[in-house]
Amino acid sequence: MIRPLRHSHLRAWCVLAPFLAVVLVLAASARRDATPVNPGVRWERLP
Amino acid sequence: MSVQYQAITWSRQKKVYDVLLASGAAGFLGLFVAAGAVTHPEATAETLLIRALGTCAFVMLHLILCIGPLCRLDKRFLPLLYNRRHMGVTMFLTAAAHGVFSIIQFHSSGDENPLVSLLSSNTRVNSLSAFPFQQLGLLALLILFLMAATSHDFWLHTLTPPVWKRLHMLVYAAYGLLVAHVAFGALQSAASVWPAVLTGAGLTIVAGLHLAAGIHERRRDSPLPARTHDGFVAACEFDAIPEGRATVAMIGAERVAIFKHEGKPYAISNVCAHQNGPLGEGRTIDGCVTCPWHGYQFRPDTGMSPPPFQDRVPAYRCRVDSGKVWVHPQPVRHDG
Ligand code: FES
Repeated sequence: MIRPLRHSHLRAWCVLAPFLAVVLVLAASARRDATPVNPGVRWERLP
Repeated sequence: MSVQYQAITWSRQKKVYDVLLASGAAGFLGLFVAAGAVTHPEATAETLLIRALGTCAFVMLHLILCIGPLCRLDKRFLPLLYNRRHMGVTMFLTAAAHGVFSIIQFHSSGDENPLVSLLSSNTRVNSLSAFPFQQLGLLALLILFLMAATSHDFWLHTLTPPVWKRLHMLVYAAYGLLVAHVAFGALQSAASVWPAVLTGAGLTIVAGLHLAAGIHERRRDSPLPARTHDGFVAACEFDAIPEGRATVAMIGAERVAIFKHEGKPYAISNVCAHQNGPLGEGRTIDGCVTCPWHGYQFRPDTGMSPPPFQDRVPAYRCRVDSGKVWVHPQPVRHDG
Protein backbone atom coordinates (compact mmCIF):
# COMPACT_ATOMS: atom_id res chain seq x y z
CA MET A 1 0.00 0.00 0.00
CA ILE A 2 1.97 2.98 -1.19
CA ARG A 3 -0.76 5.49 -1.97
CA PRO A 4 -0.01 7.52 1.19
CA LEU A 5 3.67 7.51 0.24
CA ARG A 6 2.85 8.75 -3.27
CA HIS A 7 0.69 11.52 -1.89
CA SER A 8 3.29 12.54 0.69
CA HIS A 9 5.48 13.86 -2.16
CA LEU A 10 2.75 16.31 -3.15
CA ARG A 11 2.17 17.35 0.47
CA ALA A 12 5.91 17.90 0.99
CA TRP A 13 6.12 20.18 -2.06
CA CYS A 14 2.96 22.09 -1.16
CA VAL A 15 4.85 23.16 1.99
CA LEU A 16 8.39 23.34 0.61
CA ALA A 17 7.68 25.39 -2.55
CA PRO A 18 6.17 28.48 -0.87
CA PHE A 19 8.56 28.20 2.08
CA LEU A 20 11.67 28.21 -0.12
CA ALA A 21 10.25 31.01 -2.26
CA VAL A 22 9.90 33.11 0.91
CA VAL A 23 13.45 32.19 1.97
CA LEU A 24 14.82 33.31 -1.40
CA VAL A 25 12.87 36.58 -1.37
CA LEU A 26 13.94 37.34 2.22
CA ALA A 27 17.57 36.54 1.44
CA ALA A 28 17.48 38.66 -1.72
CA SER A 29 15.95 41.60 0.15
CA ALA A 30 18.61 41.38 2.87
CA ARG A 31 21.49 41.22 0.38
CA ARG A 32 24.40 43.27 1.62
CA ASP A 33 26.55 45.56 -0.51
CA ALA A 34 29.10 43.45 -2.33
CA THR A 35 31.63 46.29 -2.51
CA PRO A 36 34.48 45.60 -0.07
CA VAL A 37 35.06 48.19 2.64
CA ASN A 38 38.54 48.74 1.30
CA PRO A 39 38.65 47.71 -2.37
CA GLY A 40 42.45 47.82 -2.27
CA VAL A 41 42.55 44.91 0.19
CA ARG A 42 42.24 41.40 -1.25
CA TRP A 43 41.65 39.23 1.80
CA GLU A 44 42.35 36.08 -0.18
CA ARG A 45 45.87 37.31 -0.88
CA LEU A 46 46.68 38.25 2.73
CA PRO A 47 49.56 36.21 4.16
CA MET B 1 16.79 -8.59 -9.00
CA SER B 2 18.79 -10.99 -6.90
CA VAL B 3 18.47 -14.20 -4.93
CA GLN B 4 21.16 -13.10 -2.54
CA TYR B 5 23.30 -10.12 -1.67
CA GLN B 6 25.38 -9.17 -4.67
CA ALA B 7 27.95 -6.45 -5.21
CA ILE B 8 27.16 -4.01 -7.99
CA THR B 9 27.17 -5.56 -11.44
CA TRP B 10 28.64 -3.20 -13.99
CA SER B 11 26.62 -3.54 -17.16
CA ARG B 12 27.76 -1.70 -20.29
CA GLN B 13 24.90 0.75 -19.89
CA LYS B 14 26.04 1.62 -16.35
CA LYS B 15 29.63 2.11 -17.49
CA VAL B 16 28.57 4.45 -20.32
CA TYR B 17 26.31 6.37 -17.91
CA ASP B 18 29.10 6.73 -15.36
CA VAL B 19 31.68 7.83 -17.94
CA LEU B 20 29.25 10.48 -19.22
CA LEU B 21 28.49 11.55 -15.66
CA ALA B 22 32.15 11.82 -14.64
CA SER B 23 33.16 13.66 -17.80
CA GLY B 24 30.15 16.01 -17.47
CA ALA B 25 31.12 16.87 -13.88
CA ALA B 26 34.81 17.26 -14.75
CA GLY B 27 33.94 19.44 -17.76
CA PHE B 28 31.66 21.61 -15.62
CA LEU B 29 34.36 22.06 -12.97
CA GLY B 30 37.03 22.89 -15.57
CA LEU B 31 34.83 25.41 -17.37
CA PHE B 32 33.68 27.02 -14.12
CA VAL B 33 37.24 27.44 -12.82
CA ALA B 34 38.47 28.76 -16.17
CA ALA B 35 35.60 31.26 -16.49
CA GLY B 36 36.08 32.28 -12.84
CA ALA B 37 39.79 32.88 -13.37
CA VAL B 38 38.97 35.24 -16.23
CA THR B 39 36.10 37.13 -14.61
CA HIS B 40 37.57 37.19 -11.05
CA PRO B 41 41.33 37.42 -11.49
CA GLU B 42 41.74 38.28 -7.80
CA ALA B 43 40.24 34.96 -6.66
CA THR B 44 42.63 32.20 -5.60
CA ALA B 45 42.54 28.68 -7.07
CA GLU B 46 41.07 27.37 -3.77
CA THR B 47 38.20 29.86 -3.88
CA LEU B 48 37.43 29.06 -7.50
CA LEU B 49 37.49 25.34 -6.77
CA ILE B 50 35.19 25.72 -3.76
CA ARG B 51 32.70 27.71 -5.84
CA ALA B 52 32.95 25.29 -8.76
CA LEU B 53 32.39 22.21 -6.57
CA GLY B 54 29.45 23.78 -4.73
CA THR B 55 27.79 24.95 -7.95
CA CYS B 56 28.37 21.60 -9.67
CA ALA B 57 26.81 19.68 -6.74
CA PHE B 58 23.84 22.08 -6.60
CA VAL B 59 23.21 21.75 -10.35
CA MET B 60 23.43 17.94 -10.09
CA LEU B 61 20.93 17.98 -7.22
CA HIS B 62 18.51 19.93 -9.42
CA LEU B 63 18.88 17.37 -12.21
CA ILE B 64 18.35 14.49 -9.78
CA LEU B 65 15.23 16.10 -8.35
CA CYS B 66 13.78 16.72 -11.82
CA ILE B 67 14.16 13.13 -13.06
CA GLY B 68 11.47 11.60 -10.79
CA PRO B 69 8.59 13.96 -11.67
CA LEU B 70 9.60 14.06 -15.35
CA CYS B 71 9.26 10.27 -15.49
CA ARG B 72 5.85 10.48 -13.81
CA LEU B 73 4.72 13.02 -16.41
CA ASP B 74 6.30 11.48 -19.52
CA LYS B 75 7.60 7.93 -19.99
CA ARG B 76 10.27 9.06 -22.44
CA PHE B 77 12.38 10.23 -19.49
CA LEU B 78 12.49 6.73 -17.95
CA PRO B 79 16.04 5.90 -19.16
CA LEU B 80 17.32 8.75 -16.97
CA LEU B 81 15.90 7.04 -13.90
CA TYR B 82 17.83 3.82 -14.35
CA ASN B 83 21.10 4.98 -12.78
CA ARG B 84 19.88 7.97 -10.83
CA ARG B 85 21.56 6.65 -7.69
CA HIS B 86 24.97 6.90 -9.36
CA MET B 87 24.30 10.57 -9.96
CA GLY B 88 23.21 10.92 -6.33
CA VAL B 89 26.46 9.43 -5.02
CA THR B 90 28.52 11.59 -7.43
CA MET B 91 26.61 14.65 -6.26
CA PHE B 92 27.32 13.76 -2.61
CA LEU B 93 31.06 13.32 -3.30
CA THR B 94 31.18 16.67 -5.09
CA ALA B 95 29.29 18.37 -2.26
CA ALA B 96 31.58 16.69 0.30
CA ALA B 97 34.66 17.99 -1.56
CA HIS B 98 33.12 21.48 -1.50
CA GLY B 99 32.55 21.12 2.26
CA VAL B 100 36.04 19.82 3.02
CA PHE B 101 37.80 22.53 0.97
CA SER B 102 35.58 25.20 2.57
CA ILE B 103 36.41 23.99 6.07
CA ILE B 104 40.12 24.00 5.23
CA GLN B 105 39.92 27.48 3.69
CA PHE B 106 37.72 29.16 6.28
CA HIS B 107 38.16 27.25 9.54
CA SER B 108 41.55 25.59 9.72
CA SER B 109 43.87 28.54 10.28
CA GLY B 110 42.91 29.27 13.89
CA ASP B 111 43.65 27.37 17.09
CA GLU B 112 40.08 26.03 17.28
CA ASN B 113 39.15 22.59 15.96
CA PRO B 114 37.85 23.31 12.39
CA LEU B 115 34.52 21.57 13.01
CA VAL B 116 34.02 23.39 16.31
CA SER B 117 34.91 26.61 14.54
CA LEU B 118 32.38 25.86 11.79
CA LEU B 119 29.63 25.22 14.32
CA SER B 120 30.41 28.04 16.72
CA SER B 121 32.00 30.93 14.81
CA ASN B 122 28.72 32.37 13.53
CA THR B 123 25.63 32.27 15.73
CA ARG B 124 23.83 35.30 14.31
CA VAL B 125 20.58 33.47 13.64
CA ASN B 126 18.57 36.71 13.94
CA SER B 127 20.42 38.39 11.07
CA LEU B 128 19.33 37.63 7.52
CA SER B 129 22.40 39.00 5.77
CA ALA B 130 24.83 37.30 8.19
CA PHE B 131 22.83 34.13 8.85
CA PRO B 132 25.00 31.10 9.76
CA PHE B 133 24.60 29.53 6.32
CA GLN B 134 27.55 27.17 6.67
CA GLN B 135 25.77 25.14 9.34
CA LEU B 136 22.85 24.70 6.95
CA GLY B 137 25.25 23.28 4.37
CA LEU B 138 26.77 20.91 6.93
CA LEU B 139 23.33 19.60 7.92
CA ALA B 140 22.41 19.07 4.25
CA LEU B 141 25.72 17.24 3.72
CA LEU B 142 24.96 14.88 6.61
CA ILE B 143 21.57 14.05 5.06
CA LEU B 144 23.18 13.47 1.66
CA PHE B 145 25.76 11.21 3.30
CA LEU B 146 23.00 9.13 4.91
CA MET B 147 21.34 8.75 1.54
CA ALA B 148 24.53 7.94 -0.36
CA ALA B 149 25.53 5.39 2.31
CA THR B 150 22.16 3.60 2.06
CA SER B 151 21.82 3.83 -1.72
CA HIS B 152 22.81 0.23 -2.45
CA ASP B 153 20.11 -2.42 -2.98
CA PHE B 154 21.37 -4.18 0.16
CA TRP B 155 19.86 -1.35 2.22
CA LEU B 156 16.77 -1.28 0.05
CA HIS B 157 16.09 -4.93 0.89
CA THR B 158 17.12 -4.59 4.53
CA LEU B 159 15.01 -1.53 5.23
CA THR B 160 12.14 -2.57 2.84
CA PRO B 161 11.13 -0.32 -0.09
CA PRO B 162 8.55 1.84 1.78
CA VAL B 163 10.99 2.67 4.63
CA TRP B 164 13.87 3.20 2.20
CA LYS B 165 11.70 5.47 0.05
CA ARG B 166 10.65 7.53 3.07
CA LEU B 167 14.28 7.80 4.18
CA HIS B 168 15.28 8.98 0.72
CA MET B 169 12.53 11.60 0.72
CA LEU B 170 14.91 13.41 3.09
CA VAL B 171 16.50 14.68 -0.13
CA TYR B 172 13.75 17.32 -0.11
CA ALA B 173 14.94 18.52 3.30
CA ALA B 174 18.52 18.55 2.02
CA TYR B 175 17.41 20.57 -1.00
CA GLY B 176 15.59 23.07 1.21
CA LEU B 177 18.66 23.44 3.44
CA LEU B 178 20.88 23.94 0.39
CA VAL B 179 18.62 26.59 -1.14
CA ALA B 180 18.86 28.44 2.21
CA HIS B 181 22.64 27.76 2.35
CA VAL B 182 23.06 29.36 -1.09
CA ALA B 183 20.57 32.18 -0.46
CA PHE B 184 22.15 33.26 2.84
CA GLY B 185 25.70 32.46 1.72
CA ALA B 186 26.89 32.83 -1.86
CA LEU B 187 24.00 35.07 -2.97
CA GLN B 188 24.68 37.57 -0.18
CA SER B 189 28.10 38.48 -1.47
CA ALA B 190 27.56 37.92 -5.20
CA ALA B 191 28.21 41.10 -7.16
CA SER B 192 25.89 40.03 -9.98
CA VAL B 193 22.17 39.38 -9.74
CA TRP B 194 22.42 36.31 -12.00
CA PRO B 195 23.17 33.70 -9.30
CA ALA B 196 19.98 34.77 -7.48
CA VAL B 197 17.96 34.66 -10.70
CA LEU B 198 19.30 31.19 -11.58
CA THR B 199 18.63 29.87 -8.06
CA GLY B 200 15.06 31.18 -8.30
CA ALA B 201 14.64 29.60 -11.74
CA GLY B 202 15.98 26.27 -10.43
CA LEU B 203 13.56 26.33 -7.51
CA THR B 204 10.66 27.19 -9.82
CA ILE B 205 11.46 24.30 -12.16
CA VAL B 206 12.00 21.72 -9.40
CA ALA B 207 8.95 22.76 -7.36
CA GLY B 208 6.78 23.19 -10.48
CA LEU B 209 7.62 19.71 -11.77
CA HIS B 210 6.99 18.09 -8.37
CA LEU B 211 3.66 19.86 -7.93
CA ALA B 212 2.56 18.99 -11.48
CA ALA B 213 3.57 15.33 -11.05
CA GLY B 214 1.92 15.17 -7.61
CA ILE B 215 -1.37 16.54 -8.94
CA HIS B 216 -1.18 14.15 -11.91
CA GLU B 217 -0.66 11.19 -9.55
CA ARG B 218 -3.48 12.25 -7.25
CA ARG B 219 -5.88 12.42 -10.21
CA ARG B 220 -4.88 8.91 -11.25
CA ASP B 221 -5.64 7.73 -7.71
CA SER B 222 -9.30 8.76 -7.84
CA PRO B 223 -11.30 5.64 -7.00
CA LEU B 224 -13.32 3.94 -9.75
CA PRO B 225 -17.11 4.14 -9.52
CA ALA B 226 -17.87 0.94 -7.61
CA ARG B 227 -19.51 -1.40 -10.15
CA THR B 228 -19.28 -4.81 -8.62
CA HIS B 229 -20.43 -8.27 -9.58
CA ASP B 230 -19.76 -11.35 -7.41
CA GLY B 231 -17.22 -9.28 -5.53
CA PHE B 232 -15.39 -8.40 -8.79
CA VAL B 233 -14.91 -4.74 -9.68
CA ALA B 234 -15.24 -3.38 -13.24
CA ALA B 235 -11.76 -2.09 -14.04
CA CYS B 236 -11.44 -1.21 -17.74
CA GLU B 237 -12.41 -2.10 -21.30
CA PHE B 238 -10.54 -5.24 -22.39
CA ASP B 239 -10.11 -4.07 -26.00
CA ALA B 240 -8.47 -0.85 -24.81
CA ILE B 241 -5.44 -2.78 -23.49
CA PRO B 242 -2.72 -3.28 -26.12
CA GLU B 243 -1.17 -6.78 -26.28
CA GLY B 244 1.80 -7.07 -23.92
CA ARG B 245 0.87 -3.83 -22.16
CA ALA B 246 -1.35 -2.80 -19.26
CA THR B 247 -4.02 -0.43 -18.11
CA VAL B 248 -3.75 0.79 -14.54
CA ALA B 249 -6.93 1.02 -12.44
CA MET B 250 -7.67 1.86 -8.83
CA ILE B 251 -9.06 -1.28 -7.23
CA GLY B 252 -9.90 -0.65 -3.60
CA ALA B 253 -7.24 1.63 -2.20
CA GLU B 254 -4.35 0.73 -4.49
CA ARG B 255 -3.38 0.64 -8.16
CA VAL B 256 -3.60 -2.62 -10.07
CA ALA B 257 -1.96 -3.19 -13.45
CA ILE B 258 -4.20 -5.16 -15.82
CA PHE B 259 -2.04 -6.73 -18.54
CA LYS B 260 -3.09 -8.35 -21.79
CA HIS B 261 -0.75 -11.26 -22.44
CA GLU B 262 -1.36 -13.68 -25.32
CA GLY B 263 -4.91 -12.38 -25.60
CA LYS B 264 -5.82 -12.95 -21.94
CA PRO B 265 -6.16 -10.50 -19.02
CA TYR B 266 -3.94 -10.69 -15.93
CA ALA B 267 -4.01 -8.41 -12.92
CA ILE B 268 -1.06 -7.79 -10.61
CA SER B 269 -0.17 -4.98 -8.24
CA ASN B 270 1.12 -1.90 -10.02
CA VAL B 271 3.80 -1.55 -7.31
CA CYS B 272 7.13 -3.20 -8.11
CA ALA B 273 8.73 -5.21 -5.30
CA HIS B 274 12.08 -3.52 -5.93
CA GLN B 275 11.60 0.23 -5.50
CA ASN B 276 7.84 0.59 -5.95
CA GLY B 277 8.20 1.31 -9.67
CA PRO B 278 5.01 1.43 -11.82
CA LEU B 279 4.71 -2.09 -13.27
CA GLY B 280 1.70 -1.07 -15.36
CA GLU B 281 3.97 1.19 -17.39
CA GLY B 282 6.16 -1.77 -18.29
CA ARG B 283 5.45 -4.54 -20.79
CA THR B 284 5.68 -8.29 -21.02
CA ILE B 285 9.04 -9.63 -22.16
CA ASP B 286 9.65 -13.38 -22.44
CA GLY B 287 6.25 -13.98 -20.84
CA CYS B 288 7.02 -11.83 -17.80
CA VAL B 289 5.85 -8.38 -16.81
CA THR B 290 9.01 -6.26 -16.85
CA CYS B 291 9.33 -3.19 -14.64
CA PRO B 292 10.17 -0.04 -16.60
CA TRP B 293 12.50 1.27 -13.89
CA HIS B 294 15.20 -1.37 -13.45
CA GLY B 295 13.86 -4.43 -15.24
CA TYR B 296 12.66 -6.71 -12.40
CA GLN B 297 10.34 -9.37 -13.84
CA PHE B 298 7.15 -10.98 -12.56
CA ARG B 299 4.89 -13.64 -14.03
CA PRO B 300 1.53 -12.11 -14.93
CA ASP B 301 -0.50 -15.05 -13.56
CA THR B 302 1.15 -15.42 -10.14
CA GLY B 303 3.04 -12.16 -9.58
CA MET B 304 6.16 -14.20 -8.79
CA SER B 305 9.58 -13.62 -10.31
CA PRO B 306 10.84 -16.40 -12.60
CA PRO B 307 13.20 -18.86 -10.87
CA PRO B 308 15.73 -18.58 -9.33
CA PHE B 309 14.51 -15.16 -8.20
CA GLN B 310 12.18 -14.92 -5.23
CA ASP B 311 10.60 -11.49 -5.48
CA ARG B 312 6.84 -11.27 -5.78
CA VAL B 313 3.97 -8.84 -6.08
CA PRO B 314 0.29 -9.48 -5.31
CA ALA B 315 -1.73 -11.04 -8.14
CA TYR B 316 -5.51 -10.72 -8.50
CA ARG B 317 -8.19 -12.87 -10.08
CA CYS B 318 -9.76 -11.27 -13.13
CA ARG B 319 -12.11 -12.12 -15.98
CA VAL B 320 -13.67 -10.54 -19.05
CA ASP B 321 -17.41 -10.02 -19.12
CA SER B 322 -19.40 -7.81 -21.54
CA GLY B 323 -16.15 -6.42 -22.93
CA LYS B 324 -14.97 -5.29 -19.50
CA VAL B 325 -12.20 -6.63 -17.31
CA TRP B 326 -13.46 -7.43 -13.80
CA VAL B 327 -10.89 -7.70 -11.03
CA HIS B 328 -11.33 -9.19 -7.57
CA PRO B 329 -9.85 -6.75 -5.03
CA GLN B 330 -8.56 -9.56 -2.80
CA PRO B 331 -5.05 -10.72 -3.87
CA VAL B 332 -4.64 -14.43 -4.62
CA ARG B 333 -2.38 -16.45 -2.34
CA HIS B 334 0.33 -18.33 -4.17
CA ASP B 335 2.49 -20.35 -1.83
CA GLY B 336 5.87 -21.25 -3.22
S1 FES C 1 11.42 -0.42 -9.20
FE1 FES C 1 13.34 -1.20 -9.71
S2 FES C 1 12.81 -2.83 -11.03
FE2 FES C 1 10.93 -2.05 -10.47
